[in-house]
Amino acid sequence: MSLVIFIMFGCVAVGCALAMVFARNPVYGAIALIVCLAALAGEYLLLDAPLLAAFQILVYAGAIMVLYLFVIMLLNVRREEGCRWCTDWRTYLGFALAGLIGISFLFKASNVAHPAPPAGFHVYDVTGVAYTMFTDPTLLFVIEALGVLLLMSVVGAIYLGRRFSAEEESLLKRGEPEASKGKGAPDDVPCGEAAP
Amino acid sequence: MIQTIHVLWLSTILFVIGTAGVLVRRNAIVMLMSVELMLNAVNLALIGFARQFRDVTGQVYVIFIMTVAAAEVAIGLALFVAVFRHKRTLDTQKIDLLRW
Repeated sequence: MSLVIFIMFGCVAVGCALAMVFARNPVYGAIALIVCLAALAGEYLLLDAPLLAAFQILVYAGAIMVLYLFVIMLLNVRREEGCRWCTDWRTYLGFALAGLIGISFLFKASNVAHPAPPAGFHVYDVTGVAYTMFTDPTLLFVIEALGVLLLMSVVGAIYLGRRFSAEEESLLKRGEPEASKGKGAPDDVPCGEAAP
Repeated sequence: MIQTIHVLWLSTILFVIGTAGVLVRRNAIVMLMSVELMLNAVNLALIGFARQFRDVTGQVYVIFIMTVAAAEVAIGLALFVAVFRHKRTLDTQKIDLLRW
């Protein structure tokens, strides 16, 4: 029974992942990815990880994907100009490379004997996860490193999102073709307007 | 009864779709979303192994990966907004200032 539900969630996840890759409009792609992540949260529930299922919904489908949708709509990249991908040899090389990676993974995974998981559900609740997370000294070090990483990403995002000074603008303009040079500086208006 | 190999199959399929998206698409935001998909495929495999070995460490690592993904998204989207401000496009074929 659980295998049937697993396959159903898996079909939803794979279908939405394909829709994300093939969607012409990035907004539809983002929504398909949200459904895919929600289906994966269902898989986590089946695989004895209810805490991670909740995190998946809250952090991934909630916070991260909303950030994606916000940026897509802020930048207004509705449609890609021209083709999603042009049918040249690089595209086929990309598909072939992805398929090769998949075949090698499947080959490796099928060659290793996986003992059957213990029967029945063994649900890890918050206590079990938190006990391992905060008692293993290695994992404790990783938590500290992740805290620094998050701080750095916040500082970096604020630094990147600020309005550039005129000096930096001229530096950035130097590498551009002649056509966009003569227009003065029309670029710094729209994105920075909402910022206080 | 879900076997570990079923989890690995699904994880591989999702990883391959994500890889194809990164390699083939030209919209930078869609490429970043494909990277998210690949991270989730790895998370699924980790949870499958955590279940098989009854070891919760795999689930702890999934939480770490989620944290790294959040940081990556914050930086990546800030970069894209900054690039879009100057280039007016997110087509990776047209953002080639650093290309030799």
